[in-house]
Amino acid sequence: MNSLVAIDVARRDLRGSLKSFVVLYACLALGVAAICAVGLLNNSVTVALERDARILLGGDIAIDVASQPLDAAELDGLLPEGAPYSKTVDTNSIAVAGNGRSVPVSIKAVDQAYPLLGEVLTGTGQFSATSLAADEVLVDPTLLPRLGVEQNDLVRIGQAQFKVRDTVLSEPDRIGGVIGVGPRALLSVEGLERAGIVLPGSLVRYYYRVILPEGVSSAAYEDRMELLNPERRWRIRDAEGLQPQIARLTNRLSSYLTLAGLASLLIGGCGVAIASQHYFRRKQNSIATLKCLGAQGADIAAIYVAQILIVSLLGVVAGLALGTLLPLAIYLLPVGLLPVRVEFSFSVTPVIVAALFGLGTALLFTILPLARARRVSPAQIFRTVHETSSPTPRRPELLVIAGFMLLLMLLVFLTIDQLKLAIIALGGAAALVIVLTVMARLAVRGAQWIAARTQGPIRMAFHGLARPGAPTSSVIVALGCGLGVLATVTLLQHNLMAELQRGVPDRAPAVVLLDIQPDQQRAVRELLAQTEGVEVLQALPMLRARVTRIGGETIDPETLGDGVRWTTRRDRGLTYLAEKPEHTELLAGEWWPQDYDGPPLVSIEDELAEGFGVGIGDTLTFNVLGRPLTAEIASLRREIDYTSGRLDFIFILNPTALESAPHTIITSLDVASDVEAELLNRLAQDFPNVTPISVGQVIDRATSILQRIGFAVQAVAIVTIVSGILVLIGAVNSARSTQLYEASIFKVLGARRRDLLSIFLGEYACLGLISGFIGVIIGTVAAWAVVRFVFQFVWSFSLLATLQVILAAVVLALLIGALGLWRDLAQPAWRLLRAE
Amino acid sequence: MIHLSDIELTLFSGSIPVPILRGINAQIETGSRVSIVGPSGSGKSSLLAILGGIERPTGGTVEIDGVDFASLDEDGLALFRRGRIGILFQSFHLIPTMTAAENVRLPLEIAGDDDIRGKAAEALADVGLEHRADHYPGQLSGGEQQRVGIARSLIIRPSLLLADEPTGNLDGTTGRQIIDLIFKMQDRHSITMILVTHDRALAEACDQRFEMSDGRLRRCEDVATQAVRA
Repeated sequence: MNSLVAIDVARRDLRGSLKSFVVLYACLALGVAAICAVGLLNNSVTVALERDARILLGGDIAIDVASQPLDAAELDGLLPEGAPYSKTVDTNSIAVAGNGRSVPVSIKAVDQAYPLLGEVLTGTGQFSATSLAADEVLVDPTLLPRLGVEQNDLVRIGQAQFKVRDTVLSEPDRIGGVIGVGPRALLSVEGLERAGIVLPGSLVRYYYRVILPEGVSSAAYEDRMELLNPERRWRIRDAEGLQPQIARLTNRLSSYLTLAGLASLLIGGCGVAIASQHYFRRKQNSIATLKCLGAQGADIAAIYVAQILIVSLLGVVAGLALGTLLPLAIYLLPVGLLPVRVEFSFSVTPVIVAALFGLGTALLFTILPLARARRVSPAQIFRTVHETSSPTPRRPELLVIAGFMLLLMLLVFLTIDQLKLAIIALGGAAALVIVLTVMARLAVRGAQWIAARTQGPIRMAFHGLARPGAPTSSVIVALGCGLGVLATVTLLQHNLMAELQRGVPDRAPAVVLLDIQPDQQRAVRELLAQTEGVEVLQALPMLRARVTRIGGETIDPETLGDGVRWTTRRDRGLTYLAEKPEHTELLAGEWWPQDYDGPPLVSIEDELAEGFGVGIGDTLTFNVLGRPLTAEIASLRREIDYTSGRLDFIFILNPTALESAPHTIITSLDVASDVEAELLNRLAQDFPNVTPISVGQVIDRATSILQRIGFAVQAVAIVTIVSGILVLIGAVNSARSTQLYEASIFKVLGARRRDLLSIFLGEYACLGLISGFIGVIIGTVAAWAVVRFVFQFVWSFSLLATLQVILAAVVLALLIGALGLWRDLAQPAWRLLRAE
Repeated sequence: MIHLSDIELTLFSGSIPVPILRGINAQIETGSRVSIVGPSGSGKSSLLAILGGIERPTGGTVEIDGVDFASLDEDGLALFRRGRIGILFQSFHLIPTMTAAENVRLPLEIAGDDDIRGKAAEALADVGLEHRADHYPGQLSGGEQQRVGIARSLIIRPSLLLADEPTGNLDGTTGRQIIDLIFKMQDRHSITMILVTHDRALAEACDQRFEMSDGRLRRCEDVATQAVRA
């Protein structure tokens, strides 16, 4: 039979059957839509990033430096002659309204050249730095209600009053938008000087954004500057360097989401298998007839492969249409939410990839049902044969399956550009499928065992699960997988929340005060001592410095371990202490004597030492506000436990090494909640340069970010659960005709409708229970591994959360199983039996 | 005793009424062996379904052992059927995914009976299939499947056995063996039996014979009398 004839026969044979593939379309469409939408969205973001990378950076290159601005000589050495540049200053302070309310703010002070590229969007339109007076401020819209002020009202920042001129909605060079102690307050550089909050040692960062002359490559310029200034205290970045940095982030996000889409597609594959198995079972007589008329196995395969391709294409096309429409939702996002203006940009590659994934999955999951159909005996036409066991796949079938799996794996490697993630995902998926299949088989065996040892409705319910040809295993694999993801997400959220709650009340300070000048320390302490309900937990000196040499050698970031590279990229916090802190454990070396006055010594974390490849007696060189300081490693400490709530630093030096350098004091307080607001206002009044951070508010923000992330992760879980539900619907549909036939016999033998309901609902409840239980086991193991090895938290199991997942599974299975069952069971048994 | 009075059954093909049974009256004595013959589509099987309480008549009354079917709802009819009525089908209607023994046990399981395994083994032995207890229907011959059907219908010790062309799917020799078995069991347990068949010879072997034609039921003696008069 040639392929055209096969397609024609397939088309005619499909008449009236297309609607029986609804579940198959839905399973394929969901997965394909997810993969296609993520691909197109990622493409749109990449296009936008390529277009706007310079704007995001704010120039061709950006140099940033902490604590002290670049002096004239440094600027001369760094900037090409005549190149336009803009200077901005980032710091923190507290804004105080006339009504006494105060809110910590993230300050950005800009010069008149700002922004060199892009636009600042404000509440009333666009912004011009040249018109920003030294006594004016632009603020984040959320700050107004918090302070209880309106536009044109006065707020005090530091020592000066500022008129709220406008609100600031977005800055072209502000990526993310969650960094900083509070909402944005935008001042002029002169305004910042008026405020008087930048004092020696203050936490402040200066940015210099530069437009390079025509023909100067920013990458080459960056390399040259780094080479010329090995001991630099500044960091230099270029737009080309920034773009892949952000692209890496979006690609990583896109990879995870693609994997989620793929997971939903693979779960949907079980639905495809069930739907096609059901279809081929109904087609047995047609197949036997075709064979009686002379069709060979190959002809049957050609006809039904053509049919599967036709119906799969319908599902895939629906998925592609949905997946192309979904990214248009970016236009509904509020302005300023994304760092770049993303416009929908169509690309054919994600569409082709999604289509290939869809078709590949459809064919992979129909090979076995198709092979069984091919083997239908022409004698079937004379005598119906019911399967009492699943036939074992033959070698050619296994080879074709392996081929399709390889094709899908290849697609995964092409789509996920991180090899490690792709390998982990594929390995994880394979392990999951094997574990789930083994568990599902065991569950079916268990059902058989129970059915053989019980009687009445219980036996019949379990018999329904263990019935040969029943889609129990596929449902358990699909639903168990979806529920496993749900259980993982639920348990992870439980652990994150538990960790936050565990950390907050007992150990974390309520307020942290930044930027206390050494000469203010006594006055601040007095104020704190006078306020009832306030206890000083820790007060440590703090300054910022960048590690420039390790063991006397200039740093090559590429040779450092992944876990420590971040410590050298830019300046880090340092402190000095005479005595070893109470909770600190030394793993090697010794703490310096209290009155030590020799060459500089430093104590560092042992993991950092390992990552740097140094030990006791080796040296580290820091650039402290432009001066090199070489310290010998005197001791190695155990890794900082950030969950302890104590202030800690990765680098601690002996006092005489740093005492004379400009620094500030960081102080943590335990404050009774009823005096916190008053204390913050009082501090803002008396010490305008001191920035108080309310840990409660930070925790609230962290919690809300976690919840937002949780929502995104839950969305992924929902997609996989929906796939599982679709599979369940498919399974219920495919089993319904068998159930109704059995129900008719049961009725004739004296069963009431309620007996039948209890049998069939019992069957669904068991299915939900088994799937839920398996999902919870998988979810618990996965969540435990993430909590233990990724988050490195203390594991906390939630019986309630797991019971909720199991209950959800049972309710879901019962609801879907019960759909239409009462009505179907009302059909006259006699007529149904006569029709068989 | 079975009383049928003015039984009517009308089904609808879309909105068009299709009369199946048109005013059937009959009385059947307990323990008797009754046959109903007639052409296909005459309403024989529908009458059997009404006698089994599986189909509700659209008119008239059915009374078995003093119980009026009209007074029972769907569940009441199911309960009535449980202990009293066994049904045999032409196409056996065994559950293909259950073994012979499991099929035979079903009525007892539905009724919530005890000792179902022992009784099922006994019922299978009665029909000579004790060695096929663990076989699935697909592994049994037609005759064997119908024997399982007989064991299943008699395991509840019914007072009424309804047989819808029980040999219709079997060859002559097997069919005769099955009929001998059914008659033997009926005698042994003093069951009232109503047998729908196309086989005139088989019908002749019954105590009371009816003929069904176009939804109407007549005793064969009446038919013969009319024929003589004509």
